[in-house]
Amino acid sequence: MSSEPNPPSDAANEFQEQENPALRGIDYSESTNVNQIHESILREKVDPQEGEEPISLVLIGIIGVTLLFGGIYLGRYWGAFDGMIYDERARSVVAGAATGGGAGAAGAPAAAEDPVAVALKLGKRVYTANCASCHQGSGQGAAGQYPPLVASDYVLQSERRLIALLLHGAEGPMTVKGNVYNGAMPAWEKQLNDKQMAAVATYIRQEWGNNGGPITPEQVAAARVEFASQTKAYNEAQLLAIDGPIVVK
Amino acid sequence: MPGDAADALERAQVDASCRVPVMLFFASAVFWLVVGTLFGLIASYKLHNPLFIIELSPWLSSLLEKFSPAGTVELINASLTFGRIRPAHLNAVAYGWAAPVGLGVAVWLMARLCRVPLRFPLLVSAAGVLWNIGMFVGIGVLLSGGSTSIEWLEFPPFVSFILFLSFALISIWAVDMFVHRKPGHVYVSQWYIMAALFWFPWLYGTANMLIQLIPAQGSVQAIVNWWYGHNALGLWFTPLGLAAAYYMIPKVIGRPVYSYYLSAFGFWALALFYSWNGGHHLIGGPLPAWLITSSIVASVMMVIPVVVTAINHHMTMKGNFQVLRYSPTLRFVVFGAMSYTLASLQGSSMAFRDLNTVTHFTHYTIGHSHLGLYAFYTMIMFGCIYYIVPRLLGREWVSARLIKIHFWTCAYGIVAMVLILSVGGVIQG
Repeated sequence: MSSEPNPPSDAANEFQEQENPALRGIDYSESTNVNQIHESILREKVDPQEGEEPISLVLIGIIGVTLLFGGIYLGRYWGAFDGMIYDERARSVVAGAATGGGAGAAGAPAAAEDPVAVALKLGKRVYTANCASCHQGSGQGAAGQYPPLVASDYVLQSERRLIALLLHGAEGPMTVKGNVYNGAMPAWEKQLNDKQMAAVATYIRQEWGNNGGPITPEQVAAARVEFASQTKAYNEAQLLAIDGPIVVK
Repeated sequence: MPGDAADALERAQVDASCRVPVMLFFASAVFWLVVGTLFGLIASYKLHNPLFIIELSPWLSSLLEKFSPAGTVELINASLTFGRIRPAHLNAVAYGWAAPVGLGVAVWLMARLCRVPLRFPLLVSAAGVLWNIGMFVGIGVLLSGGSTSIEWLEFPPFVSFILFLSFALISIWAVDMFVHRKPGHVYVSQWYIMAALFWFPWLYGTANMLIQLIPAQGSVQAIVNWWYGHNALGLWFTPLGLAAAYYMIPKVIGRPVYSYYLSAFGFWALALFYSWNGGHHLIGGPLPAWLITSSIVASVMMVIPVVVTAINHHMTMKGNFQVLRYSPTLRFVVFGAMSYTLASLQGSSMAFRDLNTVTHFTHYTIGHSHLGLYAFYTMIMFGCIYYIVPRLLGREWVSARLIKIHFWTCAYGIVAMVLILSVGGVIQG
């Protein structure tokens, strides 16, 4: 610190160009004066503080628009968050599954277009979202509370009975596979459309080793018309009176 | 407006304690910047004329035959082929220049903002030495053809390990400094530095683990690769650059940062959105649509922290732009901060599939990366060096004119380079 470096003349000239002496050499100076060298420490401004200005409305607006755009873009090209969908232009889950299946299982486009395979994929999603909380992912239900779907007559025996049950629900004591359950199954008439209900019915008839045939959206539509007069949940006796397949005219 | 004497004494003590380790980082960083730039120049020439330097072989061999064993010229020619010199350029500037200079600035800023003299200066210096050993070995391996061929992770695992170890030492040191800070407000620069020092070892460790030690299968490797590649820029260089800008701008002009709320908002928005960006390097690749789409959305969301930070810096500067005429530090830092806004907004636009179809794999991307790493990061670091070094050494810069020349050549050079590469890239695409 005590040594005094000799400034080159060009640097000294630079400083004569400065007009405002208060701003002299904020980061550097070429002084030969020991006191001035120490000033390089003293002249330093205070450490930075933070002001308290609020965020302006315009900026909040810009942020809002950006977020809105992000949401729209994500909604348009989200690919259903499905690991098998590679084409961001796929519009719906089913169309995406078809495209994704085609890209994923190259050489087997026939399998991708199989309506039952597509229905099973959709059915699994519907089941997971709506049914699994009671009947469990395994379809085994919960002992004493929710009846199992695996190897259950209500699922496998009659297409008409199954769809009637799904459309309007059930309540009161029911015997399933030898055990009595006394709960309430909600009606799904309004929540699920024909395609979703057909898909979930097909799914529970073919998953977990069940061997029932598929059910089509047309069959569900026909059942809706047939059972339209039913306004409240079925009891066991009413359900057992419904039997046979759904015939689409 | 000088601070009071006690403050000045405290700062002088802090600066004196930083002298050896910070100068070590700065000096080695500048060395690697020169070497790396030379590599970049050779790589650029080689891209257009693969025979560049090889054409000189007869002259070189007649020159060298007296001093060196046979085969030396062939060895040089092999080392300087594009496939070797290009990764050597990237690694020399990214890990040789950008990382150490950022660490030097971070070490000094931490000591300044914690308001305690550097603790364990030997540890920090040792980390610096270790880092440079890693660099020499690593660049040697790359030039002799030992690259792993994975962009941003070309160093073989044992070199990565040395760098990781050195970095881990600094990170642990930073936590220790933070714990022993003097009570008071924790300034925004400290958030960024702490975050960067936490994020990078995580990124570097995970990426090396999943790509080199226990390789992930198939296209997952590409995801990890670009998750790392982009985060190294976004969650490592960017926070260090911003930390420096947040310190230097208000420091030099002597007024507070415009808004604490904007600082906090910008920080968390950056932390939230930047980590998703890597996927936009893989648009059109064999990956699930949702992954690419969410990375594009996150890239666009980066507009938020960038605009917030830009407004915060601009409003701080407002009314003080005349200081730019006198302060080289401020000139470099403000140039860098403006380039940050520009580079980030450009990056957001490049993430769109339609534009990406044209610009990906062209010189346009190269232009963008230099806008980010040079016009933003490097310029801010130059500004910091101009501010910090005189305080560490107790000596002033020898020539103000040279600093001016440095600024204007850098500024013109990088603007010309980015513009030409961008136009060329669009034509190419």
